[in-house]
Amino acid sequence: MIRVLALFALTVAVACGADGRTPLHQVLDSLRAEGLTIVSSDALVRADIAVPAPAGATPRERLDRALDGTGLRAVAGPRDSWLVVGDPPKAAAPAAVVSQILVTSDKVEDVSSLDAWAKTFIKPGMSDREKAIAVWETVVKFRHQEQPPNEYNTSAGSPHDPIKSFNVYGYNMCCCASACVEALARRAGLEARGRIINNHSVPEVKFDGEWHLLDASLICYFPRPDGVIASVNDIADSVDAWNTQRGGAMDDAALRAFMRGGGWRNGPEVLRGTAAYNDNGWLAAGTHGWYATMHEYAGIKRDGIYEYGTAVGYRVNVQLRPGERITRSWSNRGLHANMDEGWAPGVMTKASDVHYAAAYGDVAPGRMGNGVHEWAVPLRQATLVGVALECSGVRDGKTGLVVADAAKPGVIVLRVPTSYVFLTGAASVTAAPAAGGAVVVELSDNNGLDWKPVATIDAAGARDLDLNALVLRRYDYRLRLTLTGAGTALSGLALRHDIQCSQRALPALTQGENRIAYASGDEGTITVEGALIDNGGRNLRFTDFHPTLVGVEENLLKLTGPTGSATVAVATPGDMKRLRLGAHFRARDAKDGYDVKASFDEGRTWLDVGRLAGPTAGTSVAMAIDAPKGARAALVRLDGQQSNTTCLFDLRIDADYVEPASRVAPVAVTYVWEEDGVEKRERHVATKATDAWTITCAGKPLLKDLIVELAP
Amino acid sequence: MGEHGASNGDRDLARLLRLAGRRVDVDPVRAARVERAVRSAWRAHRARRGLRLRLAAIGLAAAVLIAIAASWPRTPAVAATVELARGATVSGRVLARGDAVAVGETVNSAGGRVALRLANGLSLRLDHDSVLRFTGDGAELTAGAAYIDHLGDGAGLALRTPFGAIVQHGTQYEARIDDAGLSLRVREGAIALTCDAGEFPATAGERVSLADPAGAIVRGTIAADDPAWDWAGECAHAPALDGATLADALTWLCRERGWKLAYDAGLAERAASTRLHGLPADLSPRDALDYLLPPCGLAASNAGGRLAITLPTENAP
Repeated sequence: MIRVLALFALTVAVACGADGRTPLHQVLDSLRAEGLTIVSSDALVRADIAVPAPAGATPRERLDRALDGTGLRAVAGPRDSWLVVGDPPKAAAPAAVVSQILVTSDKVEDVSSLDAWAKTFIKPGMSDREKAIAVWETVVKFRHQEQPPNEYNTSAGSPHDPIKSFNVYGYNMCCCASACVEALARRAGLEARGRIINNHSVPEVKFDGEWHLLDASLICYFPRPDGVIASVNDIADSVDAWNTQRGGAMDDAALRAFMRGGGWRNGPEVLRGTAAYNDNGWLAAGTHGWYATMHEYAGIKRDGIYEYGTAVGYRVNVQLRPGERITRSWSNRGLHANMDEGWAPGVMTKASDVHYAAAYGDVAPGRMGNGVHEWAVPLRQATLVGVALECSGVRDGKTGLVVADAAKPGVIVLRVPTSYVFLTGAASVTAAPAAGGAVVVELSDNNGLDWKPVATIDAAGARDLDLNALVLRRYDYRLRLTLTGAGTALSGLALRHDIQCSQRALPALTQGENRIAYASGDEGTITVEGALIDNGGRNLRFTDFHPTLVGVEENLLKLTGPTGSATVAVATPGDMKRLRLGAHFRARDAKDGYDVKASFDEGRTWLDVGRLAGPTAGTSVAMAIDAPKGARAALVRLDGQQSNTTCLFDLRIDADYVEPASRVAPVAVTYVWEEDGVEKRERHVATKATDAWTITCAGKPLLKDLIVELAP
Repeated sequence: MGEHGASNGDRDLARLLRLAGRRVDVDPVRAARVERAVRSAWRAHRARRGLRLRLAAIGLAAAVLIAIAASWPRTPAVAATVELARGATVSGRVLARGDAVAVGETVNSAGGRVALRLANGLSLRLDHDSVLRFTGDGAELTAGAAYIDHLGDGAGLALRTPFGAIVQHGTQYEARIDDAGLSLRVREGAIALTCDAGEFPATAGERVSLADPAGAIVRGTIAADDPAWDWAGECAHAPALDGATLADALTWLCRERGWKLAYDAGLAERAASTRLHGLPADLSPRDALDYLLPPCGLAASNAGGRLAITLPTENAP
């Protein structure tokens, strides 16, 4: 008897993991070896059910002990057999990544993507003029004239993408606003271009056969006496004629004095018909006035056409993985994308700067917002296999993951994308490395092409790792943890980031009933975007994505001869749906330009995506191509031709794909606000891909937070 | 020194020894070293000589064995292997599982039953009081009942009876001889009886009776799950089901019981992916369901020979 017990104990001990638990099916096998007839199936006795070594004087007793707490039990079967029956222990729910989580309110228009914007603002039956005005109004509503944020991954430094500007920042400068107008106008099907004027940059939109100035930056446009919105040249002609008539241009002080008390209405004819100036000649934001307009358009070149363009592609895609929570706040903590440079945008502290915005529907308490992106990574193999880019060489331990095979390292690669720019980053790692083992932490900000060391953890305990410098101004990174050594365990991993968001685009509440809508999808996006100029290492460069350059320089991808090409690869963790490409480029001659091609078969065949066509000193285009079914990798090639000048200022490639672990899962949406100093909180769990509900605010709400997380 | 000079040499040596007087004692260390060297050389010599001797012995033994084998009487071909036996004998010896039954031997089930497996995979079972002799080209049933289950493509087993010969086509059938004559019951597939009165085919669900080899055929019907088949199931030997899928186990069971197998929605896939562990080797169709379904979290209902696999009532949607 003692020998039998010893044999049982030895068998179980050999099978035990470091956490002292043994797979139940192995315990049953050991009891069978002792003579019990135990009939079981792997439908109930699943491979992932582990139990402590059972105690008991007899095999029958140990059988009962082994099944304790598993939801299973042994019942007598035919001929002295024991059948393992019961309620199957619930299998771990398949890991879910819920993507494209969009919460909107009926108080704020949806500008989460170009398509969403078009759906909201461009209505059937609109005239081109109405569409153009809608474009202008959008930019007025969602961005404020301010020293622009600099991400340093564009040639201008500052982001010009309208959707990014509206959702992440809500403030920028004239060149940015012009690029926003141009991008939206093109999305609405209108021609657009940029104009260089004195100390200012403005867009023109073409409709009814003419170009028209729509300055969203300074919040103005100018109807001519015939009611048609004036072009830049119309304004310049009018200003120059007025100055000539008066014998020359007035200086700044004289202009400021002239405009007061309605004096500006005696100025150039084209400027008289606008509603943009107040009685004293100031524009809505109060930053500029009639005097400035007079400077900006006086004596300009009538053919000064250049666009401070943008490579569009950004879209809001809030994704949630198990353990992830994203809080967007209608307030800020003084954190912003350029906080490492010793300056701050005025809207960080002075909400009064956007006093005019209420007239354009702004109900947010301020403009610049911060938020928190947190992820308590669930360290269960079944979860990570679905959620992580890689989870290999580890098994479930008692409190986390343990190296499965001493001869092979355990590797966990997590992708951490955000729609709101990362400002800070911290990782808290709790590990128990075995003797001679370690947990090596690395980070990649170029889609896993290169890895930067973060830490090597070779002592047990919790470690806080500083990711600030590695993630600042990034929208996507990957974290790789490599576990070496038999028994090395990882029992905790938590990530925390401060993020920046524009309060203006958040789905706000107002007093009374607020209709909230929820939607989710299944797409993720891998982006290739980096500066095409030297950016002093302040963000990624295009060359960080390892392009193959033939006959082009790294700087602006300028052609060094008549032809040249740049080819870059992009790979997605799920089936690719489409490739999108945005470019801001110069091709001075009609023969100059880049042909954009894509290959989904490693370069064996190439498909035409579009052309960046000259002649242009600078313009922006967007194009897309659907990926063939099952594609997970693509090459994008730009074949350039040059007889005068061909170069790229900005380039962004987005590969949209189906998240492999995507599914509809309950998402908790929590609003936090104050009414009369009392905190209110309303949590709604959206269980379907689309949902809607109402939040009623009895008093005027002071908006605080919008929190989204997967509901348990 | 050559062998031919040895005797002269010995004499010379003796003379020299006598002249030399008493020998001086050898240093013991040196003596031991010399002894070790000599002993080692002797052992090596012995080993070489032993090898030669052993090779010679092996050769001789092989020759003897070949001669014996050539003159030994040949063992009769094995006709079947016993899978299950309860009281059956062959040539007076009591059969046990694993025994071989040779061509020419007669199996007598007496008061028991026996299940045999032929080389072609066919299962042959004998009911109580059956007598069957294996011939070179088949078998002869002279009393009692034989149940034949053959899934293979081949001819199966040519079975002769005093009433006629039966050929089968991928079938389960029973041939029974009693006081009333010969009766054939076909559970699956088809058979043909050839007798003095002619050739009479029968297919699944048919029963054919013949009182006299030249007499008239009487036809009737029998259901696949008729209790008349039960005896064959009781001596069925289950295949190795431990580790098999539930679907495979149920397929075997339903064939043995003559049931049609049906699954509720989604359960066929579950049965195909669920493996069973710890099943006893002597699983019988009678109690197999009790072993198979509860550990898989499933239940079954049986109506009209249709076994429907379902979720237990408390789990049903």
